[in-house]
Amino acid sequence: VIVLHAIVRSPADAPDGAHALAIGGVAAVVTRPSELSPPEPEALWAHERLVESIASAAVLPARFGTVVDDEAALHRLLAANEAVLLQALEHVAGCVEVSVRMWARSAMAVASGGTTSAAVGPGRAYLQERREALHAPRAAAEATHARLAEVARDAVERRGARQEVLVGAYLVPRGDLGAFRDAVAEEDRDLGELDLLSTGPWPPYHFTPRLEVPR
Amino acid sequence: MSAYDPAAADELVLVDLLDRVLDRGVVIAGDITLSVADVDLVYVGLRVFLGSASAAERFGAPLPGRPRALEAS
Repeated sequence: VIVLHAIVRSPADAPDGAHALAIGGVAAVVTRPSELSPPEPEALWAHERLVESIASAAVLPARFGTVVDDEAALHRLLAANEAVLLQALEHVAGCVEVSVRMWARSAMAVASGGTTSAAVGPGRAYLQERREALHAPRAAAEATHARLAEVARDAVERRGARQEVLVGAYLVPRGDLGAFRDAVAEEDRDLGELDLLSTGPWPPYHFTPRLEVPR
Repeated sequence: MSAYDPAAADELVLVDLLDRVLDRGVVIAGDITLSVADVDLVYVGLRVFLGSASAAERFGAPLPGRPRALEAS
């Protein structure tokens, strides 16, 4: 089988240990392992490092474990999806992805909106306060996401676990990484019981198309 | 502001890696090696292995056993 690691524009972009098959205006960076690796951390990192080592302005990383039967199948697949791939490559060109999570230090912070108010009052006032508190972290997440999306070329929000009020992926031009980090630091300043946690740069996994199989 | 904790930082990087290499990236419709169920299983296995409380909350009770190996389609 052929393991697909990434789509690039030119076969010259293939890193050591992999090769590229050019089809039309795009090229697939592939390996042909004798057996498929199980999805354990070492194998996931190996795929990630291979993608990171591609010296190209525009890289569309593949999901781990994406395989095709043979070169003919890969050829048909890329030919059928060339337009959407070229468009996606142009979109991510010169960019990296940055992950940002807004994390509540405790479940209490999720409910109390960053302050540790333990107010228990009777009747309507209590319900009103409770409603406002429940919405506060969400409002903070939306404001931060909007601000970071402004600095980015594109942005995607993911569903988070309970204490994650925001899980965002941001497509940032390499030249704007400093400005993006500054924006994250600025947003992190007055969040109280909420923290902003950021990792990256990553290849632009969140800004990749799904390939349709030609019939 | 976030306090820097190297162990927590390593865990965060691994969670972000999983959110990318297993859950996003170019996929081939109907022709992927890992089914959605398999990916969820790997997710749960690795995340619970990490000891992340958020994993159990997001995916329900942790599943026993190691992540299932890839099988050729």
